Amino acid sequence: MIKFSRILVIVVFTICIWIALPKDSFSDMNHKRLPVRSKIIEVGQGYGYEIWIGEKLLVKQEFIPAINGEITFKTPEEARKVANLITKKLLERSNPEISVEELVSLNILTLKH
Amino acid sequence: MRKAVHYSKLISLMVVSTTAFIFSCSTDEDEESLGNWINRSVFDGSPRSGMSGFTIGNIGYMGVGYDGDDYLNSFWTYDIEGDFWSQKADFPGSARNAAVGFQIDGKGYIGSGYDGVDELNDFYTYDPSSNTWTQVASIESTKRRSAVAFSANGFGYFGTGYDGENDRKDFWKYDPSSDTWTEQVGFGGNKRRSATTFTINGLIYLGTGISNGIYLNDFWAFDPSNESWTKKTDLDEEGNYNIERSRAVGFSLNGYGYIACGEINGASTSVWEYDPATDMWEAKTNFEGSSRQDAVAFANTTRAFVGLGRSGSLYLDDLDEFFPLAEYDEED
Repeated sequence: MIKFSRILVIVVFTICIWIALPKDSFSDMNHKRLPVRSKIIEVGQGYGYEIWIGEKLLVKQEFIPAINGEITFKTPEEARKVANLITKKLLERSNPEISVEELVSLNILTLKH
Repeated sequence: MRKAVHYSKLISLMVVSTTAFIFSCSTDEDEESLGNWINRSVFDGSPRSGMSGFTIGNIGYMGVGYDGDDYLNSFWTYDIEGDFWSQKADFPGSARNAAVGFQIDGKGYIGSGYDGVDELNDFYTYDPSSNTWTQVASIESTKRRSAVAFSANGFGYFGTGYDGENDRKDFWKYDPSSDTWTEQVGFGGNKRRSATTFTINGLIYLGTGISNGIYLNDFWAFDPSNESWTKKTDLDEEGNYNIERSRAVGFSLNGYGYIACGEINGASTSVWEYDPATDMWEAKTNFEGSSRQDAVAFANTTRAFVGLGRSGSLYLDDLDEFFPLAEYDEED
């Protein structure tokens, strides 16, 4: 009987904790564990990329970011370099955007662009 | 004796949990309002506030802003149907926040604002079909931030705000065909900054904002057909109204106007619905994300999203879709 009441106390206590915990904390934990991955896509004659967080499409980039015009990446490797940089930024919880300077340093743009 | 101790523990735990359960239920019922928010997208790791934007068709456009360290000039689109973001051409002016954004006939405009040192008066237009920015005419006579802007009948309108020394009440009209700004007269409201507008059936409604620490309670409708302003019922007319605030977002959906979030002595999550037929307001379900100010709203004729913005020192980065007629559901 003592054992039974102990089990009952534990069960009720667990339920209380479950109710008391904010539900958001669970989704936050899941969110932080979600893998970030990128995918290279074909856009006409050129290439772009997608950034996925788990099953959620976060960014779809058909054209080179930051610059005027609708210009695709010339090669899958160029798109991959930028997608990798964004993935790295997301994993560091920093801004997932690309600047013109970064495009120059990745040899995707030349300085005079 | 030990058994008795255990039973009393058990009973006290059950009482505590039952009380907690009843309390949470009754709170829900007390605050029952129609409207539901569903989290749509996570603009992950890119916290920013004081952005400017506009909606054209099924695409929300937003850019510039401040991330706590830097003023930004990057510019993004949110695809309402596909629920994803794309980075577009950088805003070509100096990085800034507290700018205005509006669209005229399918072209976007962002201008004015604050670059961390000065208020600004330059404007730029964005062509979505070519992903290109072009500078347009500045408002030469006045620089300002935290103004409002909207468009009607092919013209842009810009007014109120803070010029670095004073809050303002003057309005300016932009004609894209001649690329000129001309001053408009006739706004009878007080000077203010960080006000909000929304457009219903071709009429523009303007309210909220702050001046000299006072949250303003006047509410106005602008009829672009004769460019006249009409005073509507004050925002504190009814005893249960709690609409006054600054840095809120405004949008319209299905013939109703909404003022959401913003700050009144701290960040707010409350949402109010305006019915133009009765000139009355009704409280809706609070924004389900964290409280925020300087947020952004995207709305086309059928769907509305509110997100980003900041709450105190914490920057936020999510976007929620608002369903004004749905029952509140805390699980989504």
